[in-house]
Amino acid sequence: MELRKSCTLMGDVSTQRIVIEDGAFFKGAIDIKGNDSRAEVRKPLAVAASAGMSAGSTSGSSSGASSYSASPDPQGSFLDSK
Amino acid sequence: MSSSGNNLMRWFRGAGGSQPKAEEGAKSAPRTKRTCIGLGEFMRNLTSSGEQKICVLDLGPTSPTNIALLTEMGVRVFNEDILTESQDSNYSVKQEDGSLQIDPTKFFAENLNYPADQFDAILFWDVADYLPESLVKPLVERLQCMLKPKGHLLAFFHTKDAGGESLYSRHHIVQKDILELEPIQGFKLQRIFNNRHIENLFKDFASRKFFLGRDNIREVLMVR
Repeated sequence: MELRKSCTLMGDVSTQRIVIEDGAFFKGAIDIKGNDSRAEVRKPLAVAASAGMSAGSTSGSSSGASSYSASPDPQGSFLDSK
Repeated sequence: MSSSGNNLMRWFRGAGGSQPKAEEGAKSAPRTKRTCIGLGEFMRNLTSSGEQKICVLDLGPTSPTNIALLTEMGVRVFNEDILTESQDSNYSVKQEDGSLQIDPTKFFAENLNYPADQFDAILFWDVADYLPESLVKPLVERLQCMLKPKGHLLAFFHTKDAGGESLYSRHHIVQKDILELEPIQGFKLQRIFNNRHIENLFKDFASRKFFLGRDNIREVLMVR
């Protein structure tokens, strides 16, 4: 199965192999079955060309995230259930 | 919701009030990569406990990269681009003041129709920051119901410092803890959640773990 850039697919897919072009719209479930199964990403030609041009501007920045436990905020909230 | 709360929401929305339309054919901005500790933890939890496949729901715009990576892990991937769907005027009803507002009942009649305890994990991304107000709470309640007990939900929230012009992004999982963000034009940040808002919104979840990034994105990993 191959989903092209302009493709809109609504529904569930069960297949051994699927190729999805960047830009395809999918709503549903994808189930890949079998031992020799896989999903592939394929860039549309126009996108692939522009991606090649902009590759140098892609930054590899790291978020450097740190985790913490949130403490209750004393201020009121618009999402408070009242 | 209190009236001061409504005012605050209106302030965040700006003067416009109407929902932005996704600009078709808009040129995509350069993609950027970010390391995500929350995503790394989310991915590590995607382990099957039995013969049944793990089910993951991706609520962002369709990402072939995510589908390829997750299906390669043996995951059954579900995709619903909930924010784009919310732009459909068929779900809106006219209010007393003449404005249009999305009716959650109409919206959920055609979106996210899944049984309870369907998903092992949900990728919520930063959808909540851009979603129309009337859908936020009902959507979170629905997600909580669809998620299996001990299932994980990963959400991102922009902090105040990120600025009101923060672009909505398509999230591509390029490695288990590295995301590629592809900005998408046409969606406006609707609100900024602080920790208290997030705690309230996801109050029915068993736990919430926060990861604060230097890029003003707060990752939150929720466990049902």
